[in-house]
Formats: sequence, C-alpha cells, structure tokens
Amino acid sequence: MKAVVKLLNVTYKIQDGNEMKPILNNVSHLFPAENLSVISGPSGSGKTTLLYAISGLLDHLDNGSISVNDTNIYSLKEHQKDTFRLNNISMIFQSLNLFPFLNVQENICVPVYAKNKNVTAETKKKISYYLDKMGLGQIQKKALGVLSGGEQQRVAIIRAIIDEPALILCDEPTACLDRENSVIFLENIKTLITDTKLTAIIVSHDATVEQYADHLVELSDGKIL
Amino acid sequence: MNELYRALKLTGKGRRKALILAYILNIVIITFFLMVITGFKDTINESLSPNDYEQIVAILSSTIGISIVTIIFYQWIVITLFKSLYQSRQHFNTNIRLMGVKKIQLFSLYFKEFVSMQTVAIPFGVISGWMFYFLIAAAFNFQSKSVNVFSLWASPIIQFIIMFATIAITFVNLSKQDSLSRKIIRSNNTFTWSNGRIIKTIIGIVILIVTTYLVITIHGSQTFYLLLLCYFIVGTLLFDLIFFLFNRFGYLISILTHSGSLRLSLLLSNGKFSKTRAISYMIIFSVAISVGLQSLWLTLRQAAYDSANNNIYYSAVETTDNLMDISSIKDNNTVYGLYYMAPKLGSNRVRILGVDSGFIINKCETINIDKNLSDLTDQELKKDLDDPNWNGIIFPQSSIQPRNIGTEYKTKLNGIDVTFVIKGGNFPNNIGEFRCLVSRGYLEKVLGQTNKVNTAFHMGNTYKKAFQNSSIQTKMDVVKISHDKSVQSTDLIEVIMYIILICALVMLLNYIYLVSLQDKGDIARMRAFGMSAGKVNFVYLFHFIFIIFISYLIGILFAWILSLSGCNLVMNHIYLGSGIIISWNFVLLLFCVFSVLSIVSFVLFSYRANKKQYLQIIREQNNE
Repeated sequence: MKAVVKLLNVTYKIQDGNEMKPILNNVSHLFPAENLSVISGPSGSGKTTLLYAISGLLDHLDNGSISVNDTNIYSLKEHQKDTFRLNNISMIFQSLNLFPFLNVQENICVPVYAKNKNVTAETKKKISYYLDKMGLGQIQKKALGVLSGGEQQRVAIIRAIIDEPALILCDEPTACLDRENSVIFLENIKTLITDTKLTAIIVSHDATVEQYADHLVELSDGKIL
Repeated sequence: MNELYRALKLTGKGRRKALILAYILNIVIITFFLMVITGFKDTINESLSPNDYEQIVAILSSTIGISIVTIIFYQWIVITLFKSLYQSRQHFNTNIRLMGVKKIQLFSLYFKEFVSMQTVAIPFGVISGWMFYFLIAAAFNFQSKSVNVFSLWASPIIQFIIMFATIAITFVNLSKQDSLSRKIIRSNNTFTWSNGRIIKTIIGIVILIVTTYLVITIHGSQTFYLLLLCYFIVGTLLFDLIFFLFNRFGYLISILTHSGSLRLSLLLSNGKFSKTRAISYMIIFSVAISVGLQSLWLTLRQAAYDSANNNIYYSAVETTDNLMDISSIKDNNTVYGLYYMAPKLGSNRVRILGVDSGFIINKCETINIDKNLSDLTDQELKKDLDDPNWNGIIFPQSSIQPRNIGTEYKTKLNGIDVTFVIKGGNFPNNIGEFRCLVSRGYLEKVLGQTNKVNTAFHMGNTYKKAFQNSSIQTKMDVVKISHDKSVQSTDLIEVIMYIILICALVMLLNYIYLVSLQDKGDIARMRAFGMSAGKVNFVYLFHFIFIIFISYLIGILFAWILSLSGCNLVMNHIYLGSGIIISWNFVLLLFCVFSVLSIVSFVLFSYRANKKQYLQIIREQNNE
C-alpha cells in the first residue's frame, strides 16, 4: 500500500517558562510515496518532534493537520489513533527497540500479536527470508543478549516491515551503529522500499543517511528550509 | 571520597527510600520472630510435664523454621531493590570507575550508605517490632513475657550481619558485569530447558513415581501420611515443568482464540521466568502454610464436634459435689455414676468416672476401644464394669502406649490412695476432656462407699433433676466444649501465618513495582506501536494473574496434603469421617486479595508509562 504523508501548516508548541515555544512552526510539506525521505537538521531543530507528529504520538497539534493517505490523524480519537498507527505505521527508534524478554522471532512478531493475529507458516517463511536477506542467518530462537547493536537494529527493521505497513518512521536509527552497520541498515531499507513499495521517513543528522535519501528535507528552528 | 559519597546520595532517591523501607520491614520481622521464639523458650523452662514440653518444642521448631524461611525469602526483596538502586546509578558507577576509583572504594561508598540507612532502619525497626509484638500479644491474649533485653541487641546484630552479607554478595555480582555491555547483554531470565532444569525435572519425576508407588502400597499407616509430605519436594522440583505445561496450554488457547495479547503475556511470563520464580515459591509457601494450617484446625474442630455429637446419646449430664444414695433417686431413664477429679497428669485434669454396664447397655455413649492397644471386647468391658473387684482403668487412647497396658496407675481420690491397672484405651467422645472409665463397684469399694452416686446421665429429652445443688451440662454443651478445646494454643501460629501472607503480598507488590519501573520503556514502546492502554494492561496483568494462579494451585494442593497428613498424624482416622475441610471462601478471598492488589498496583505504578507520558519515556530512554 502506498503512503502519502501531507503536512499542512503544522504548528506544535511546548511550555517554556511562562511562554509557549514553537517546536514546529507552520510546517507544510508532502512526503512522496515509495520513497526514502530523510529529515535532517541540527540538534533541537524539531526533527524528532516532526517524526512523532507524523506518527500521531503527539497528543495534539496547536495548528494545522497531518494526513497519511488522506486520513487526518489528529482528527481521530485517541483509541482510533492507536488503531491507525498499529495498522499503518511502524517505528524504529534510536536504540532499545526490542523487548529483552523475547527472542528474535518473538520480537519480530510483536506487531502480529498486537493485531491479534496468529503467526502463520507464511509469516515464519517471511521472517526466515528477511533474516537471510539482512545477513543475519537463521537466528529466530536466539536471545537478544547474543546480538550486537547492529544486528538488533536489523531485527528491528524486520519487525517494522513484517506486517507490511504503509509507512516506516525511523528516529536516528544509525546513531548507535558504526559506519559498516549503518550502510547495511540503509541498503536494507532501500531494498525493502523497492520490494514492498513502502514509504520510509528517517530522521537523522548522519551524512551517510542523507546520501541514501530519495527526498531530503532540512529542518531548522521548527521550519522547513 | 566524601564528595563522591554526597554525589552518590543524590541519585536514586526513590529507590533509596524503598530500600530503607525494606530494611525496616526486615528488622521488624526479625525482632517479632525473635520475641515469639524467646517467648516459647521461656515457656519451655517453666514447663512441668513431658507432654507440654513436646508440644511447645514442636511449636517452637515450626516457628523457627517458618521464621528462617520467611527471612530468607525476604532477602529477595532487599536484593532486587538494591540491584535496582545500583543499576539506576550505572552512569555514576561507570564514570567514577573510569576516573580511577577502585572497585573496593566504590564498595566503601555503598557500605557507607548502607550503614547510614541502618542507623535509621534499626532503631525504627526494633521499636516497631516491639510495638507490633505487644499489639499482637494484646489482640490475641497470649503471654507477652518474652519481652526481654535479648531481642533488643540480638535483632540489630542479626539484621546487620544478614543485610551486609546480602548487599556485599549482590554488589560483587553486579560489579562483575561490564557496564558497557550491559545494554546488549541483559541477564537472561527466559525459561529454557537447560541441562540443570532437565535434571531437576527428571529427579522430580523419579521422586513422584517412587512416592506414589510407596503411597499406594502402604496406604493407611502413619508412614503413608509422612510419605505424602514428599509431594512437597516433588511439587517444588516439578514447578518448572508445571509452569511450562500451563504456559503451553495458554499458548494453544491464544492460537484458538486469536488473542495476540494473551500470547504476548505468556511470552512475557516465559521471558521473566527466573525473576518470577522466587515470588511463585513465596506464594506457594504462604498459601500452603496459611490454608493448610487453617484446614488442619477446621478439620480437627469438626472432627471433635462430630465425635461428641455422634457418639453421645444422653440429653444432659448432671453432677453434684455431694454423694447421694442411689435408692432414693432411682429413675429408669437415668444412668448413674461416680465421678472424681484426680491429680493432674501433665497438664491434663484427670477425671475418673465409675459406671456399671448400664452405661453401655443404655447407650449413654459409644465406647470405642482402641484394638491396637488391647483386645478388650465390649462384652468383657460390660462384665468388668459390673465387677466390684475389677481394678482396671480405661484411659484416653492418645495418652497411653501398648507398653502401658497392664501397668499400675496410682492416684489419690477423695484423699484416699487408689491403684488401678491400665487395661486399655478408648477414643474419647469429648476431645476436651481427659476422662478415664472404671468400675463403679470397685470405686465404691476402695473409697468405702455403698450405693452412692454423684453423676446422672439423663437419657430422655425431658428429665427432672436427680440432685440438689447440681450443675447440668446438656449434650450440646459437651459438644461445644469438645469443639472449642480440640485445637488450643494456635493463636500465635495463626498470627505468624498472617505475617507470612503479608510477606508474600509485599514480595508480589515489590515485584510489580520493579516490573513497572524496569519495563516502563517496553510499556511505552508497546503504546507507541499502537497497542491500546487496555491491551498493554492485559499483557502485564495476565502475566501477574498467571503467576498467582499457578502458584496458588500448587499452594492449595500442598495445603491439602499438609492438612491431610497433619490431621491423620495428630488424630486417629476414626475421627475424620467428615474428611478434610478447606474453607473455600478463605481460599477465594485470598486469591482475590492477591489478584486485586496486583491489578490495582500495576495500573497505578505503570500509569505514567502506559497512559500519560509514554512518548516522554521513549525520548528519555533514547537520550540515555
């Protein structure tokens, strides 16, 4: 499923002392489908907040709207937002993406469990395929403790795509990785976009990530440059 | 180092408070148990009879055993809280170690903090322990003479030694972990069929088979009931297997019902198995002890009630201090006897009842002779009771051994020395009374009386008083005495039983608090993935209920075994016609208390991560 993300006059403010400080200031933008979009910018520019805004994780917007495939996320009620996120969006965080009490396969299957679906033979085949594709080998039953940070991040990607979301949002996914693992991660994302037609938006200030971008957005002081 | 110590104290304030509270609770428990134990010890010193001595020693031994087990379990709380405090200071610990501070110097900082916490915990804990003991002593009306100086100095020393050992061992284990790899290599708590676990399970199965075989082959004897206690070992060894089977069963249910939340919850239980096992054991132990002892007492009381109610047929028994001539009061619907109080035997007030065969023929009471002690038949007994030369005496069966049969029992009745020969033992109908049966004719002869009586058993529903200035006990009065006196001196054990339950609840709450704290990132991420707060609650709450349920089930089974063995070891099986009684209301109430407390505490503890600020938690953790 294609995902088109539209931002229209998005403003989000937080309390800073006695006044409200804008973190996102009247942002309007269209993120194209089946593309790897990279949001870059200096620290404190509002990159992560923009990503969370797109995912619907913010409790409100002070102004404007965000729509994913024509669904205005912030017009939805809280539980509807949860359901929408569960069915359409996957997230990869900077670190600690996985649940330490689950093994590799169980971690990958969390979105399946969350949707109250059974892990079918087809799902297991897919897991096996992606594990091989990402150079991890058949490590389904392994505990997380034996995996490196780079391997864990790749497991997190498989989890993000296993139930075929329309949109993947990644928050500084390469921040804890060395260059070699960063390249593996980005190559994998690019391949997945080609294979599964998903849309990916990555927040990063890593120059390597920017090199892989189909669509680059630069943010400064809560505004798109 | 003083500056470093000040810096150390600035971190983990919430966890410090929780740890101090745990120290206080620990010393309260130590002080309380110490006072209870010294109280029993005092009683032993003043004890007069061997029976009393044995009884008190038995209670003392079980109290010491329960105390030690409770204190050991309680160390788990302290360890987990200290671990949590240490790990919350991981940055501090790593940084000062990188600055060149030695491991022993880091330990000295923690030791200094430990001592400062003890200076608060010990006085407060000792005073609270004393107050707690006085309150319990007052509420349950048992002697509080155990208040002595010993507990004042012994409990702080025990507390300090135990706590220091616990903290030092935990510190050494924690400091072995490389702080940099900690994020990646987390301690593996997941349930796996490791070699150790397989061996443990096989041993459990072997003991199960052997015990079951022995139980089947030697059914009914005392050894049988002792053997049943082996199932405690079996249950403990097979706990992992039971957990695994229930987990798999739940997994099947989750597939059939397409419940992903249920599956995630079962995976959570599996993943946290090592952490939850200590709590499971504590719940099993506390439920087995509390429900088991309660069942034991209920069954014994019911047995005592039934014994009197089913075997006594007179409607009332009348006694007087003055001897009456039987010819002046003769009533066909009444059986007469001579009744004297003999000097105490141990702590028992001995009652000697002289009757003739009319007592049996008119069915005043059923006289059940213990055939294991003597082969005296009912016919022989009837004949003997009518014989004024028969100097035999029938004792309550629990007070004599086969070797006592044929031996003399000398006593003083009405100021006259009287000698009887022990001929047998009967199962008393009134458990609360130590009554011996003799021939009325013989009693009259040795006491120099003729046709005199002072006791009347009225058989009809309506009766008229046989004596003046007499006291009357109806059958129901006798039944009540039997019921009430069957289980005495259990108040204190009941208090200890509730303390164990409280300890189990504290452990469970502590576990839930730590899970909410340590898993706040996981909870926040589940929410960020789109799982609703309700689903996340379900995942965690089912995990807690799952642990409680399995532990509870095993605990109830253990309680039943404890009660069955206990009842049959302390009371003859002829009393236990009603079977083992378990108060299912109490069982259900206890389960509800455990479950509701888990639900309420988790919802409260996880509120920030689950409801309010999960995004903020994700940001905090990503910035760490």
